[in-house]
Amino acid sequence: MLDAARTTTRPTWLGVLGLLAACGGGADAGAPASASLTALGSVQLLSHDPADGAIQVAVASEIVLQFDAAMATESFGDDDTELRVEATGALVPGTFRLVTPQRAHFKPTTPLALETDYVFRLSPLTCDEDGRILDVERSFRFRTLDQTPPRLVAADIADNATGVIRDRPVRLTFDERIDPASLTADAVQLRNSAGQRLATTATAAGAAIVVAPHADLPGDRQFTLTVATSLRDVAGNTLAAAIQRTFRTAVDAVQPTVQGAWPTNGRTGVSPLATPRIVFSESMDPASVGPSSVRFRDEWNSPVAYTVAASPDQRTLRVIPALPLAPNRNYSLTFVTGGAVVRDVSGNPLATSLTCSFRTGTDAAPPQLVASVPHDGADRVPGDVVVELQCNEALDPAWIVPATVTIAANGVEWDALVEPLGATGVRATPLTPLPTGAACTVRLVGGPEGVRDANGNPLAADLVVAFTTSHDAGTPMALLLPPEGAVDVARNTAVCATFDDVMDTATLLGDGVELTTDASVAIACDVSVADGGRGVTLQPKQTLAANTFYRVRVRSGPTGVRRASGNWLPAPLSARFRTGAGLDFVAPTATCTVNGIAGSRQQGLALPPDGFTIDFDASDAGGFVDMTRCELLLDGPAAGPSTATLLAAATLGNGFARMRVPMNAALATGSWTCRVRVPDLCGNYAVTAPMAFEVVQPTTTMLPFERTQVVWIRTDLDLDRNGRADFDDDLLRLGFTVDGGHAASQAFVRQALLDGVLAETSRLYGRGPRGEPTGPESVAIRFATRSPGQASHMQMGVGGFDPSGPPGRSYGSESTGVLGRAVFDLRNGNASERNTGGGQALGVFPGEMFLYQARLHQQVHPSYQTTFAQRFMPLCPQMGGTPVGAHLHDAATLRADFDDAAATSSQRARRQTVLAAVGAWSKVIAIVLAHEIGHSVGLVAPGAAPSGLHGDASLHNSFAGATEVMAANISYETMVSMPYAFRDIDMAYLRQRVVMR
Amino acid sequence: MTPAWRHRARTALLALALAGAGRSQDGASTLAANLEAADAVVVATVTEHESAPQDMLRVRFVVATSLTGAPPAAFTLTEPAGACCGRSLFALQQGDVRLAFLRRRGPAWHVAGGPRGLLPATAEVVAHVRELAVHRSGPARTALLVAALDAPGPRIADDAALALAAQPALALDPAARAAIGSALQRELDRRSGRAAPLLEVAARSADAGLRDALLERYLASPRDDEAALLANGLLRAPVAGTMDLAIAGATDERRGLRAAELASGLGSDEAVAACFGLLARTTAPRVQLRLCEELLARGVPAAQLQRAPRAVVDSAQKRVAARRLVRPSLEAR
Repeated sequence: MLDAARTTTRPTWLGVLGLLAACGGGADAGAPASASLTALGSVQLLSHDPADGAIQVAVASEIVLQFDAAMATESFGDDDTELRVEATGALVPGTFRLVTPQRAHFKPTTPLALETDYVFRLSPLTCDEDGRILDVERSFRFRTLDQTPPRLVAADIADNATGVIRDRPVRLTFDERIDPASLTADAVQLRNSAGQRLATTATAAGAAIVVAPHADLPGDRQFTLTVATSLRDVAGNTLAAAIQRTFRTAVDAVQPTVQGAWPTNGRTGVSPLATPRIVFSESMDPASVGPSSVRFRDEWNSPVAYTVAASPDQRTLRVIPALPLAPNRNYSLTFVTGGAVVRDVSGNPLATSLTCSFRTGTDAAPPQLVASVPHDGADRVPGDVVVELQCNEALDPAWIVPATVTIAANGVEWDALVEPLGATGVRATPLTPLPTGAACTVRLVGGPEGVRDANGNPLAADLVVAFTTSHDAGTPMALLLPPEGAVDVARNTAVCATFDDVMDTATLLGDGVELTTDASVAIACDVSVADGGRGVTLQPKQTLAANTFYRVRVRSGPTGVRRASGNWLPAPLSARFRTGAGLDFVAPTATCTVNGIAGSRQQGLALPPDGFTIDFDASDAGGFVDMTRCELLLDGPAAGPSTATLLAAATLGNGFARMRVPMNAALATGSWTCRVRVPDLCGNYAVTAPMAFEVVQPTTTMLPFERTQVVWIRTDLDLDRNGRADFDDDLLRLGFTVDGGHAASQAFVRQALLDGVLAETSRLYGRGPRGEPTGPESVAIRFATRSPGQASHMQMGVGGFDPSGPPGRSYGSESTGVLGRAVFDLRNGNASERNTGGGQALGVFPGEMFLYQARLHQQVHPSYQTTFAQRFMPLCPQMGGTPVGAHLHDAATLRADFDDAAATSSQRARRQTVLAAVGAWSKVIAIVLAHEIGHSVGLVAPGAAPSGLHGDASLHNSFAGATEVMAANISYETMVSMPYAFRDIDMAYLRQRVVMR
Repeated sequence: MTPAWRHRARTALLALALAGAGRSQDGASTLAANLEAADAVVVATVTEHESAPQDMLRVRFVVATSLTGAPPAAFTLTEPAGACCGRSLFALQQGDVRLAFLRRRGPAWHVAGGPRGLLPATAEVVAHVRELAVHRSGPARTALLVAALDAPGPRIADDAALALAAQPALALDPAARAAIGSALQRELDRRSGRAAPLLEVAARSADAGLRDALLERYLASPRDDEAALLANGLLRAPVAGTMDLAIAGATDERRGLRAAELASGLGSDEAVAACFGLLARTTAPRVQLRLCEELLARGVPAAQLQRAPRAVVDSAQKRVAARRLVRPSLEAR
């Protein structure tokens, strides 16, 4: 913990608990007004010294921080502001002082250590005198003065060691990090006793370098590894002296064997350009290959002149004829034993002879790419594409492997399953979807180690197909009508395909969707694409036959239907239906509402210009409604958004549609009526009754967040005065802790729960998992689970039961049903509410959820297991569980450094059980917390805009959907299963894009 | 009465007479639950609305109709003044008519079910509550709730779904099951929160036909949130053979991934068996990858995953090694 030099006393008003509710307007009268609120936004760290990554920093240095405002000295005392030794994590004590109001210096209590890496972190709650916080954690690293050359401290081969394994790398460890750039080709050399240099690869790994020979070293030989003085540490200090390690390899008496050969013995049609390839069990000596040891002859026993090439590991030798072989001739390649013989690097002769006889053909041409999906240069390719390449001739499947066929996205190799596609093709399936908007390549390696045809002709060079993925990570889906299995369909029906996103119209108008007979004969149809590109309707030119099967087919792949983003269906779709004997001339029925509000409640509706939904339901007795051909008829003071605009982002289903009016198509203020005209598949139209509503315009006056609102989530309160924090009482009840249990595992779980609450609450407000802003969509509110110190802040108590309920309740008691209460603060006029119990019983009360769920469990168990019981039966003592800290696996599994690869299955299961419960409970708390905080920053002002946000009398979203944060009511099942979010207008208010008069 | 006693009494009265409350929990405050908790249910009219000492708000009601219990002819509700989440009295106007679920504590009446215990007295809600009061349990209550799923009023329909899910004994006849199934499909289509309690009801019914329909929807679902909700119900439905059917239904990559996700929600031994079962049937590389990851994470050695291509197993091993469970920061401070 750093000690901030305290030049000011902590303002007493921070200790005042504001308990009183607003009176007819919303301001919390409890906490007095804070300091001037004239400054906006967040405080900025303009610069710091040392800079990030600085080296040779003097040990007597002070850390200098330059801000854009006069800072509050005490805020530097936050726990998250610290200087640590990077390697050990040790805290470095020191003091802060303000050299100028905007410049702070941190001076370590004692000089820094030499040649040491440090990390400095500045808390996001660091604030200026006006209460503006930094809002993002800032950190930087530096290394102190280092003038000492790196020193070798360990080598995994002793000097003059003997019996060293021949194919192992050598690891040298130094006392400090090595600069990878100093590992040049000459910095590390491995030589034999004759002074010949052997090929190696050297890599730097922190303070170590690893030297790996390319080929096996010969046995029972002496070698010297030399590291030149040019090797240096990250501070630039070179070695004081070269390092040498001499060692002798183990004896190698094992004779090499042949593991594979190409062409295989008896092969015919081999390319006259073939270069036979032999794979051995160990590294071979290429110099031992010659006319005496390897005889290459034609059918008339004439020798074939050749050279030999070895792979880097020298385990594969290629015999390269000096001239192309003659076509249609027999050849033999013999590796003899006895006398001159091919030997391994240790001199051991080949164990058994090998003869490979083959006959050449006439094909000397490498394979050519004739088709690919996607094609070279394609863009708007879906990320889940399966790459398929076709060549003009049969390929050798043995060479279609991950080493020869690779996919890369933005230059990074992507895991893929590579397999032959028929005789002439290659399929590469990315194992996970490719990233959106990425430049991708599929590469077929060419050359002697590359993809080749069946006769052995390799690709002349690497073959690359480049494409770009679309910016859409989704896969198109379609609803086909009539649906699969429909019977007695009217003969005058059309067919339609409704898609889940805007489609590329051109792909709908082609043969992407077709109507066929059961025998796949196409039916002539007139094709019309829906406004908004969400669907297509095919109207047969003639009435369909009676009592006959037909199919609606949607083509997949790049030549089929595609979204406007480019994504195509991965597989074709079809729906088979049977006609009846009759025709349909009966119109469907349809109703229209806004915001899902029942018709009886739509009198006098006042709506914002955008963000509300127009919903309609339609049904057709004996038939199906074509939602894609619906037409929105809006009458008002100005032109309204078109059907195409609204349908583009609508939710469409079989018989219903939900269209949200977007911000860029907002309605003008005034009186409007809305009707929807929709046909069935037989062309019979229905028009809904007109729906009237008023559009009112909000105006901009005051912002709810002049600066980042800090909220202290208080888990330390003890409202029931039992000597333990109410939050911890909940943990005890749920089984997240137990008296006398293993403290470390309980602390781990408690922290995991707090982190989960923080992450989910932050997410709901558009922030990162640790509360940091992520971009312009983040709400200017930051949550803290510890006291924010001098920063002006709101407090929200979390834990325990509703204080207004009967005292002394426990498992099996009745819940009040109240999960939280908070002061409503119109436009967040007071940034310092204290929603922490008191006479108003304010705060968040997760204990009430526990009581209700426990009672429900008692009622239905054992015949049924509720969602809550699924998670908490293994933990909650009263439900028969074993709480955290009491299970035999808890000490080993509930810890940050848990290694699940080394754990038993029961240990993994225990950990997963506990963490799943933590995840569920943290989400529950977070949603209620976000809701109550929402009230305290001005949600949901009742009434229509401009004075309200269309909240109801209870200050909640009117006619709320179940997964809206500001809905009045919630259920456990919904909270843990479905994604919650603020309603559009609420989020617009939080983001200060709409405010109230 | 000493001042101290008077203060304590007032405090107790305040604690008991709070009329409003904060964010409510659906299931604990349905019309049915409020009815059970209430000592009296009335339709009453606001006659006075005034501030009281110590920043309290006092609202007086006159009872127009008594639905259950023996309520007084008039009663007073009190809560802290000012707008606050869940306080309902501040928004009332003189002349407002409300349906109130009342609970008696000593001399005072207060609302059962928090803010959801005081609601506009529409004709359909009042009629529905009357019916609930007549049919307190058994098949008639169940039938009433099932019928209420189609009520135009969202409060009635929402509460009916929640009440069904919370009924201690749930016996559904075939017609009721069909109605539940239709309602659930409809609410899933509309992405409405009523789907969650209806799913509980469907799962509790242990009806194989409902399970089959939900399983088919789950396998074909393009929405991860819907799939997660359905998986939660499918895994707890006391109907045998769900995972076997899921494996058999995994006829393409999307469905295979859904089946793999369902398997991952099973207990340890069942999950391993299910993953191997699906691995034996699928050739989709991404499904194989998902299954291999699940098996490796559960401790199955890579050597046992011969049914999957080597590249898939290698990739799964890398991904499992790179994956981190929740590891909170426990840096010493």
